[in-house]
Amino acid sequence: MALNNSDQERIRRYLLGQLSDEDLQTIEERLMTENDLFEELEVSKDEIIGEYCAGELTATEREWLEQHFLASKEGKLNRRFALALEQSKRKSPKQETFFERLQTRFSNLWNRQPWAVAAIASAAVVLVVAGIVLRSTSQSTSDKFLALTLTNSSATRTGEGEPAAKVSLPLNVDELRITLMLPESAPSASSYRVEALDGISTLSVAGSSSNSVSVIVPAPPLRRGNYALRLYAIKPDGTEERVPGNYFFTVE
Amino acid sequence: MSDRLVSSIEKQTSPLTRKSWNQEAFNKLLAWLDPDRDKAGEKYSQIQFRLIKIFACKGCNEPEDLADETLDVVMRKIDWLTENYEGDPALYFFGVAKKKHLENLKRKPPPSPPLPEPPPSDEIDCASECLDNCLKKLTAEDRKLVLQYHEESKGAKIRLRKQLAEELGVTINALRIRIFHLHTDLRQCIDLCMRNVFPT
Repeated sequence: MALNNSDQERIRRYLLGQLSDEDLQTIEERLMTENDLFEELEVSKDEIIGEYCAGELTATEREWLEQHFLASKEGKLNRRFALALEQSKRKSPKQETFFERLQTRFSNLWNRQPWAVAAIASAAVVLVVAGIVLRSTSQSTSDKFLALTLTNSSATRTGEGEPAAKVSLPLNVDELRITLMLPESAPSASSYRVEALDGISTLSVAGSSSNSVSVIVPAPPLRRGNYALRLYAIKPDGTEERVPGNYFFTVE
Repeated sequence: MSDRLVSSIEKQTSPLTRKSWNQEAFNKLLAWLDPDRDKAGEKYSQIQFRLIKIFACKGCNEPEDLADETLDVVMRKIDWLTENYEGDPALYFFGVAKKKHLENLKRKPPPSPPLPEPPPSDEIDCASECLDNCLKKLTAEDRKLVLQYHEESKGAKIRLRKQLAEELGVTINALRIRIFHLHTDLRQCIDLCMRNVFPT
């Protein structure tokens, strides 16, 4: 496919309603005449519906998709397929993991070129020793994240109800790992989506358990101030329901 | 071959277009698209298909009807077009399609469309069972690829897909396209399977 990354990006923005009128006109004209671009449209549609069903799109992107492509018959069929795929994923045990694949590759290499394995093993020993030495000499730089656990609050803004958790961020911290405790009233969900009310543009859900959801917030853009997070439960059928309450914290 | 293709195009057109079907104009339209009737038939189908897809992306409920109306308008102007129009015919079709879409919006202003209902859970359960059966029809390699491709999410997903592409010795784009074609096969298989359970 002779397309560049910006064409891929443009098609994605086309599908999510993020193009200007002028760009929209240009891209649609090209779709009528360029086979590669049209193929990219089909591939991207397939991927975006997958992201929609996995709860990986923003609220605005979800809304646009629901009111446009998902409203068409083709969109509905694609959505059904993506939901079926999500369900099958949950039913079936995970395929070979990264480490299992690594193990398979390693044993294949051992059978074919044992000398290469010996060389890799020696290099690994050197790296591990070097790592231990470095860690012991600069312990303070190894802690790159800060963990924080937040309970759910029924307050609507910082200052109401319970005082917000406070955290100070040293310069060497890369990210804030926040554990959001789920209230008893939380709806059951297959996955979660998190939103910041303001001030945080990049954050993601790293995992969840029956009573909590782990969220990662990159630390560098965080400034002193009050922050609030909202959690949304994504149900097996792809619909979302907000987990009641908010999660507050203050960066000092 | 060309007659078969052209007759299949005629059969595909909706009753709306068939009402105003004009064989002579259609023949002229094909000749305008390409002097080779085979290639003309292919171009016609391609234009129709792309119009449907673009209308669907715009959220039209009946993209096929709008595409047919567009083709009908162009067919009615064919004498003028053969004399005067210069450029890629596909772009002329697109210009008409844009007008049709605007007319359609004026005719039926969208009443802030309700969010599409998610398919009922029994339909998803059934589709999931169909998917399991359809996966079994793939080769072992393709089946493994589809399942592996959908493991993980976000950042981990990107790393995994990069690694899968490396293992297969293809670019990420080639892998995306291969997965898309496998999905298309699976969707068709699921549709067939579902028709037995939810006959229309």
